[in-house]
Amino acid sequence: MSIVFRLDRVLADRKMPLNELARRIGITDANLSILKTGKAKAVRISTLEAICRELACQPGDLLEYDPTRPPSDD
Amino acid sequence: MRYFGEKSLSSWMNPILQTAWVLVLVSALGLSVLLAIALFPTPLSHTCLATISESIRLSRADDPEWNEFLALPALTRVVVFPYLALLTVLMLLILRKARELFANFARDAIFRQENVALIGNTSKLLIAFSLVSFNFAALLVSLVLLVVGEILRNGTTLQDEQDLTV
Repeated sequence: MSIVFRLDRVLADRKMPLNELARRIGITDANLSILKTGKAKAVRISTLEAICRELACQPGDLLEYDPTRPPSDD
Repeated sequence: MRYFGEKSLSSWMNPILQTAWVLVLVSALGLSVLLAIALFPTPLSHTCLATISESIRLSRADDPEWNEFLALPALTRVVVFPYLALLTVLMLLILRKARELFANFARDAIFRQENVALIGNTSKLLIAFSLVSFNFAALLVSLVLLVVGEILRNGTTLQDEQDLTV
């Protein structure tokens, strides 16, 4: 997928572990891990909103378009 | 009424279909033996088999179709056995696939690729069964089942997408 979710980078900048973010936004570690590893097929606006609120960032800080990667298969 | 999971319709179907599978197998074997006795009188004229053979012949004596069938050459009459065997094998396979499907439903495993394949295979077997047994109702059911399989395939795709939506 050519859209990359840069959650790991923003988390490292904020020095926040993944499970702490999961606890704060009220989703499971497993689901957040799906997002972090790029396996997610869709992101709810409410999830994005919660991540941005807790990490004090913009959606653009989390998402990146990488044209060198193969496009999504669906 | 619950359809999926424990203590649901699906969980009840599992032992019912298992029993049906055994009954079909036993009935088919029994019917084959009785037919063989009735069609080809045994040389052991004083045995229990000969008595059964005679009673079957007498009970069907007034049936013109039965008499017409008996009048056929022995080689032609033998054809009934592979036909019966084919019907039995198809029925057993259909029952087995249906049991596997309901077992998955009883485990709450509904939108799975495995179930899509099971429904697809069951409907194909049912089409074959309906054509072999000239059963129009079974043909209709199998066509409905084909469509249900396609709906389940779409449902499985949606479920996969839902599982990967964060």
